[in-house]
Amino acid sequence: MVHPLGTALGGAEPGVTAVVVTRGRSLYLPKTLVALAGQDAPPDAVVLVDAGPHADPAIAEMAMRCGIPREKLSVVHAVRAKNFGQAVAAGLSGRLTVGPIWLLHDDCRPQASCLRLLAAALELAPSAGLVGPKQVRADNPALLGEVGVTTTPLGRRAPFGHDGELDQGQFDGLEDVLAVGSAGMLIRPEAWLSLGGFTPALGPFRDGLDISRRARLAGYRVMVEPAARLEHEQATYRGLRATSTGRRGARQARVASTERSYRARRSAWVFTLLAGASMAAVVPLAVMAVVLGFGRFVWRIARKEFRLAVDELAAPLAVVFRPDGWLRARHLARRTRRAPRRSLAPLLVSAREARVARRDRRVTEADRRRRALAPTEIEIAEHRELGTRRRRMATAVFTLALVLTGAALYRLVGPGTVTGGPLGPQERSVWELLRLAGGGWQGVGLGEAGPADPFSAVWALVTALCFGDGAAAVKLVAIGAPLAAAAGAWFAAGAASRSTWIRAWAAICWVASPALWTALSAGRLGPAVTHAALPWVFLGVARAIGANRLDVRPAVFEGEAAREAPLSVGSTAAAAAAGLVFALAAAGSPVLLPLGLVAVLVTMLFAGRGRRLRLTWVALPGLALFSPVLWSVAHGGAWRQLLADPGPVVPYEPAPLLLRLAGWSETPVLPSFLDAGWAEPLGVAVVAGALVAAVIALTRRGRQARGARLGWVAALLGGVGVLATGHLAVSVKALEPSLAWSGGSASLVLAGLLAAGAIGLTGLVGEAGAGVGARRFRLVGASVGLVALLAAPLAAGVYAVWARWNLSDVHRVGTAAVPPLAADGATGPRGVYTLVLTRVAPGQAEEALVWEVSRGSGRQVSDSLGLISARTIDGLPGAITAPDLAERAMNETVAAIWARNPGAAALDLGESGVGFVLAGRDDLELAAALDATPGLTRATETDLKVVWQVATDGLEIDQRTQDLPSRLHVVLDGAATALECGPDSTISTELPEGPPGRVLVLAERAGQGWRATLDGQPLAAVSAGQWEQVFELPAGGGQLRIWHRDPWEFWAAQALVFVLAALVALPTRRAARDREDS
Amino acid sequence: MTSIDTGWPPRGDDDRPDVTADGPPARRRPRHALPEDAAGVGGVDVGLPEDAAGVGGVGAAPAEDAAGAGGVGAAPAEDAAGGSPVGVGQPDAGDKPDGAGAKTQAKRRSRARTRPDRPKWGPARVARRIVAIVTALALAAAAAALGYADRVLEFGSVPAASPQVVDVPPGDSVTVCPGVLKRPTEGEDDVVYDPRFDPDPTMVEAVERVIVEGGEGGRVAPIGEGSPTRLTGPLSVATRTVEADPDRVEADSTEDEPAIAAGAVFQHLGDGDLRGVAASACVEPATESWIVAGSTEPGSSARLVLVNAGYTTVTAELKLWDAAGPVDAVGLTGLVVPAQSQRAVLLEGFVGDAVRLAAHVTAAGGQLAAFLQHSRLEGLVQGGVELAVPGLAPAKTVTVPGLNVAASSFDSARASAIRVVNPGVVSAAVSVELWGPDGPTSLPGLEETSVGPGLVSDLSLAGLPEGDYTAVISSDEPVAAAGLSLRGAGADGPEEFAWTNSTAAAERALVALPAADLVARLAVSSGEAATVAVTPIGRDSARGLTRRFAVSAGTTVSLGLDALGADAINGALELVWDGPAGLAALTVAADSPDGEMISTVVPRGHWAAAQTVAVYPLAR
Repeated sequence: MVHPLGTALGGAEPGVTAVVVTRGRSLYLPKTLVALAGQDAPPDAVVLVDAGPHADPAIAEMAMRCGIPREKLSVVHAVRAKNFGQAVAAGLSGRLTVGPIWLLHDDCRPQASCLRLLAAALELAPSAGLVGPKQVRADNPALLGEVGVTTTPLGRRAPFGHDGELDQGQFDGLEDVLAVGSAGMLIRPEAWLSLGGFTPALGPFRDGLDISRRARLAGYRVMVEPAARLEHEQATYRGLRATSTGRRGARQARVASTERSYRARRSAWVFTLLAGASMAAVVPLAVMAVVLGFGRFVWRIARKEFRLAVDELAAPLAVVFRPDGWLRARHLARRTRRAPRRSLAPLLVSAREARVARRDRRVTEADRRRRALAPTEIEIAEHRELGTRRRRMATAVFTLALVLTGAALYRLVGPGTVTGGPLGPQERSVWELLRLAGGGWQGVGLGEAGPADPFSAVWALVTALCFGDGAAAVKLVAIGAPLAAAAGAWFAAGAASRSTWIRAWAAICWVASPALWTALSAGRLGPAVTHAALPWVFLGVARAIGANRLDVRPAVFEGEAAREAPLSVGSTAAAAAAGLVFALAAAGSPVLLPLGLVAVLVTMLFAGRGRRLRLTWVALPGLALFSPVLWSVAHGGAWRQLLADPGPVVPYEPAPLLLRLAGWSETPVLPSFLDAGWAEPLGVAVVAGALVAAVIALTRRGRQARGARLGWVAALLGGVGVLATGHLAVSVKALEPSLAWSGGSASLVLAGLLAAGAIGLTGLVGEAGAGVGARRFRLVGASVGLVALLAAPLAAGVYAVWARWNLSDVHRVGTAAVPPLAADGATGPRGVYTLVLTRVAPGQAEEALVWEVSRGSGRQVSDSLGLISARTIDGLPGAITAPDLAERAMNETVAAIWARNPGAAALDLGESGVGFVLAGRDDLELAAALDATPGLTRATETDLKVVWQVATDGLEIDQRTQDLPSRLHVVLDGAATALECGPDSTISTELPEGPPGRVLVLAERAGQGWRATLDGQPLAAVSAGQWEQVFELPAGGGQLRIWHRDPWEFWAAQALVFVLAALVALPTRRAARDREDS
Repeated sequence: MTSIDTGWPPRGDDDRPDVTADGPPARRRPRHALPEDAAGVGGVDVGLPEDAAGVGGVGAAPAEDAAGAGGVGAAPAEDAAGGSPVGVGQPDAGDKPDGAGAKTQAKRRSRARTRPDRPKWGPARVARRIVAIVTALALAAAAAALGYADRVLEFGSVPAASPQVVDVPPGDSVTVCPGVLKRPTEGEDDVVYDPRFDPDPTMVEAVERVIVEGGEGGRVAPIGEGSPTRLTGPLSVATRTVEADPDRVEADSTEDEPAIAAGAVFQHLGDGDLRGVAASACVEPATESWIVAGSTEPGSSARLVLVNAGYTTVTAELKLWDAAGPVDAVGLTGLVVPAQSQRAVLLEGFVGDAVRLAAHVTAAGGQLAAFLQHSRLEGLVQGGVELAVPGLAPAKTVTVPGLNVAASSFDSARASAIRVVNPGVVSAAVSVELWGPDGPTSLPGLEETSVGPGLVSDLSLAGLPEGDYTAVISSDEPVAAAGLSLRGAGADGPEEFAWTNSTAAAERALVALPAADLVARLAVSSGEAATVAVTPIGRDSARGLTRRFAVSAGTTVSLGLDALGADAINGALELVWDGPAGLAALTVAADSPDGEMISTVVPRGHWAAAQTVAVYPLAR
C-alpha cells in the first residue's frame, strides 16, 4: 500500500484526504477552510464533518465560498458524534482512503506549505505512522503552541511544553516525539486502519496523544515536522466557544478562560492514564487519581479557584466510576499493541526532569514578578519611614493595652480555676466540646437533648490551644481578649485611616471600652471574645470589598500632591477570614448573628459589583456554627435559644439605655466621692469622642461617606441589639427571667462609630485647609482630636481601676465547687449526680427550697445552661413553661424531705441517679431534715457545705429495696440493682443474667435520641409516665450498649464549612494558572 | 494610562491569566499612581462609581471602578485580540458594554476636567447637602426611635414563674421516752459506798404511759435491741414499765389524718439519794434542744442524757451557760451518739460549782432527744430529783406554765424561781408577768430586770402566794426560760423540786396521767378568755366524758382529776381549746411524811401536719 517514492517527490500528494471537523459554522471555520484551500499541495478530497447539533445545510456552500472545489468537497453531518474522534470516524466511514488522512480542527489554519511538508515527511519515513506540524499560536504566530507532545510517566504533559515560547527555531531539530496533537495530524491510512481510529470515548483533549501512543506501541514512529506550521486557535482549550446561545452564551464568552476546559482536560488525563496503564496498575492509579483529586480540590480552594476545585473532584470521579469508555479503550489498545509499554520510556520525561523544569519556571515567574513590583528607592525610603512611625505608635498602643490588662487581670494569673459570675471549671475534653457543638446530648442537670451553645466550639478551640487544660483556657480567653481587641482595633483602624494618630485613638477607645471591661468584670467571656473579634471582622470585610486604605504616598516631586493609593480589588480570603472571626464574635454574643447577617446584606448593597458574592463567606461560618440552634428553632424550638448568652445563666440588672449603648451593660460603679447621678453622664462621655467623630464623618463626601455610612449602619444595628437585649428575657434562673447581655451589641455600636469616626477624621484638617474657612476647620479638627485623644486614655485608666474594684466576683480558687468525694462519685463507675439544696427566704412567707442537679465536679463554664434555659420561655411576650416531669418528680422528693415526711425519698433519689446531697452548713433546719431522712448519711463537710451520701443499701421502704444510687440500673419488682455506667452519654456495660420482666432505667431525661442494644439486639423504649429513659429487658444478660443518637450531620456540615473557610482564608497568591498544563 | 480606555479590569491584575511572555505585564498600573482623571480633581473626590452616580454623578469615578463596571466583558476579547483578526470578531457580547463603558467614561472625564476645582452652589452640591442632611436627620430619628422604643415598648417582658407548691401529707410523729433515773455515780467502779448509807433509790413506781392518736396507730419500741409493741389506731394508750433503755414511740399518719405520739414517764422514789417524784414528758427528737435547768453546786448533779432514736450516728455539740456566763470547756463538741443508743454526760464534768445551768444541744447527722436529770443532796439530806426536758428556743416572749409555787416569804433564800438564760451578746431587759389563780400579777423584782449577755439568772418567786402560776417572760432580746417549783425549802427535812419547761400555746394537746398513787392536777391558763374542753381517755383507749372549763384572761385555773371526771382507770387527758389556744401543765405530786414531792409534765400539742412546700429547680 506504500506509495511509490517518486510520486511523493513529485509535489502533489495524491490520495490525501483532509478531514475538517467543525461544530456548525463556527467563527473560525471560514479561515480554516480558506487556509486549506490555499495549500500549495491541496488535498485530493476534503471531508467537512459537521458535528453540530443540527445538520446545517449552508455549510457546504460556505466551504465552497472559501475556495474548496466542489468536486473535492464532501460534507458529512455527524450529529451524533460526541467528539473529534467520532466525527472523524463518521467522516471517513464508507470511504475508501488510500492516501494519508489529514485531520484538521475548525480552528487551526495550516500555512500554505503545511500539507506538502507533512506529506513529504511521511513519505521520507516509511516507518512513521503519523506526523504532525508545529503548532503556533493563532493570536501571535511568533509564539509556539506545541511541537509534539511528551508526558511524564504518569501522563502529565511535560511542563516545558512549548506553549507561549517565542519561536526561534529552537525545536526545529525535533523529529521523533511521543505524540503529536490531533490538529493538523497527517496519518498513514494503514496506520489509521490498523489502529482503528481514535479511541471512541476520548476527546476533545488528549485524543492525539492517545492515538500517537497507540501508534508507537503498534510499531509506528510518530514524528513532528517543525517546518510545517499550523496556526491553532485552541478555541476549546481556551474556553472561547460558547456552548449556549443568547445571553448565557455571551456571559460564557465573557468569562472565557482555559478554566472552562479544565474539567475535560482533567478527565482526559485520568482516561488516558487508566486506558494506557498495565492491568495491575489500573486500580492503584484510579485510587491515586481520586485521592489526588481531593488533594488538588483542597489546593484549589486555598487558591480561591472554586470552579477548578469542583473540576478537580468531579473529573476523576466521573471517569473512574464510568469505566466502560476506558475499558473499551484498553481493549482497543491491546489489540494493536506490538511493542511493550516500556519501549516508550525513552520518549517520556522523567518525573525528576519535570520537577526541575517546573521549579525553573516558578523561579523565573517569581523573579519577573519581583522585578515588576520593585519599588523605587524613594518609595523604599518612604515606606521605611512610614513603617517606623507605625511601629512606634503600635508599640505605644499595645503597651497601654498591656498595662490596662495587667492592672485589671493580674490576679487571674497562676494556678487554680477562675470562678465568679458564670465562670467555673472547664473540664470537658476538646473532643467532647466539639461533639457538643454539633448538638446532641447535654450532660447538664437531669440531662437535656438539643443543641449546645455555639461557644462550646470556641472552648474546644481554646482548650485545644491550651493542650486540653480547661482552666488555662478560661484564663487565656480572659486575658487574651483585651490584647486581641487592642491589636484588632489597631489593624482595623488601619483599614479606615492611615494616620497613626487616628489609629491609636481608635485602638485606645476600643480597648478601653466599657463593653469589654463590664463583661470581663462580670466574668462573661462571651462578650469579651466578641469585643476582641469584632475589629478583625471589620478589617476582613473592608479588605474583602477592597475598601481598606493603603498608605498615602507623600509628594515626591515639587508641585505634586500627596496621593493615596487606589482602593484594592478586595479579597475572597479576607472575606472568609472575616467569616471565621465573625462566627467567633457571634458565638460570644449570639444576638450579633442576626445583626451581622443584616450588616452583611447592607454591605453587599454598598460593595462594588463583583465583590458582593464573596461576602457570603462572611456569613457562612457563623451560620454553620449556629446551624444546630437554627435547626432546633426552625423545628419548633424556642426562638430565644438564638439569643441566649453562652455558658451558665447569671441574671443582671441592665443599666439605662444610654449607658447600655455606651457599653455599660450594668450601671457603672463610681468612686465614692461621686454620687450616683454622675453615672449616666460620665458613662456616656466615654464614647462621646467616637460619637463626635462619627457625626463629623457624616459630613464627609465621596469615598469617606460610603465607609462612614456603613459604620453608622453597623452602629444602628448595634443599637437595635442593645435595645432588644435590654427587653428580651432569654433565660431563666431561679424562676426569674434573665435578660441577654447587651455588651456584644454595644461593642457593635462602638465599632461602627469608631469606623465612621476614623474615616471621618482622616484628612479632615488637610481637606479643610484647602478650602474656605480653613482656620475654623483646623481649630475644630484640632480641638475634637485633642478631646477625643485625651478623653480616651483618661477614661481607660478609670475603667481599668473600676474593673479591678469590681472584679471581686471573679477569682482564682484552688478548690472545686463540689467536694472531691461527690466529684469522685460522679466520675466513678456509677456516674452519680449531686443534688444541691438551698433554702431561700427561710422562715418567711415566700420560703422555698431550690435544688440543682450537678454533675462531675460541678457546673462547667462550657455548660450550655443559657441555651437550655432559653427553651423554658415560650412565645411572645412569653411565659416560663411549667416544670416538666423530671423537675416535678425532683420537686416532690425535695419537698417530702423538707417536710420531714421523706418516706422513700432516698430511694427516689437513688433511682434518679443522685448519689450525694449538698446543703449549706449554716442551714441547720435543712440539715436536720436531711439528717432525718432514712437513707441519707452525712459523709463529709467542707467549709461551706455538708455532704450527705445516698446510702440505701439494705433499706426497705414500701417493699422497695435497692442497691443504688447509680445512673443506670435494672428494676425488677421494686428492687433496683445498679449497673456500671460511668458519666458519659455513651455506655457500654455488662448486664447480669436475670428473669424476664426487668426494665432498664437510665436516669437521664427520656428522649427520642436514646438507643440501647443488648448483644446487638435493639431494646424497646418504654414510656411509663416517668421522666427517666426506660428500656424493656428480655430474660438473660449480655453486653449492653446505650447511646444517644447525636445528629452528626451538623458536626459534618460545620467541619466542612469551617475547613473550606479556613482554606479560603489562607492568603495565597493567584498565580498565572493558565500555565498549568494538563 | 491607555489601559483605562481599553477597559481592562484592573482587578484582573492578579487574576488575569497571564498568557504573555513578554516580561512584566504591560497593563499594570504603577503602584500608588492614580489615573489622571482622578488626580485632576485633586484626589479628593474619589467616590465609588455608584456613589458618584447616586448622588448626582458629579464625582469623577475612579477609573478603577468605572473600568471594573464597564470592562467586565473585555477579558476574553483582550485575550484573543493580540493581533489576530479572528479574535476581534468573536464574542459580540463582550464588546458592546466595553465600548459603551469607555464612552461614558470619556464623557465623565471630560466633565471632570472642565469642572472648576470647587464649584459654588451647583445643583449637585445642593443635592449632596440635602442627602447629607437627610441622612443626619434619619440617624437622629433612628436614635430617637431607639430611645422611644426602650421607654414605651414592653415587647419582651416575661413574668417570673412561681415555684411549684407541693402538698406533703403529714408524716409520722415520733417521741422518745426516757429510761429510769440513775444515780450520778452509777456505773463508776471507783466509787465505794458506805453500806450504812444505802444510796439506792427505793422505786415506788416507774410507769411509762404512751398515747398514740390519729392516723393508723403506731408502735413503741425500746431503742437498740427489742421488739416493737404495736399500737392500733386511731387512739391507743399503752402503759409500760420504765426500763433502762429509752423507748421510741411512733405514730403513723395517714394521707388525710395527722397523728401524734405523746407520753410521759412517771418515777416516784420514796427514799435514797434520788428521793422524789420525777415526771417527764416524752420528747420529740430535734436538731436543737434548749434545756434550762440544773446546777452543779456541790451535792448537785446534772446528768444530760442524749438519746439517738434514729438510724444514723449523730454528733452532738453542747453549749452551756452558768451564772458566770458561757462555759468554755474541753469536750463539749464532737459527742458521738451512735444510732439507736443513748449517751449520758455529767455536766459537772465540764463545769463544777455552777449555781445555775442552761444547756443547748445541737445535733448533726440526725436528731436527738435530750433529757437532763437534775438531783440534789444537801449533805446527807436529799434535795430532790427531776428529769427536765427541752423547752422553747430563745425568743422574745417565752411562756412557762404550771409553776407550782409553795408559800414562802419575801426573804426566803430558797424559793421557786424562773430561770432565764440570755444566750445573746447584748444584755436583755426582762419582765415577767405571772398569771395566777386570781389573774395577772407580778412581783416587785420581776417587773423590770435585766439579764446580762451570756448569763443565767434565777428570778425568785419568793413571796408569791401559794398556787399554780403561768409565767410570761418578755424580753427585748431572745431568751430561754424554765420554771423551778420548790418544796420543803427552809425546813430541816428533805427538799424536792420540779422543773417546768417553757412551751407554746397549743389548740389541742395530749398528756399522760400517772398511776394511782400519784396525785395529779392540771393547771390551764390563757392570755385571753377561753374555754378548754378536757376529755379523759381510759387506759383501755376509750374516751370519757368531755368537760368544759372557762379560763379568764391571764388566769391559771387548777383542775383536780376529780373535777375532770378522771380517776385511776384513766391513762391520759385530751385538751381542746375553744377560741384562743392556751397553755396547760400537769402537776404530779406524792405526799410523804417528809414533805410533798412534785413534778410537772407539759402536754404535747404537736400533731404531725400536712405541709405545703414551695420548691423549684435553680436552673430554669
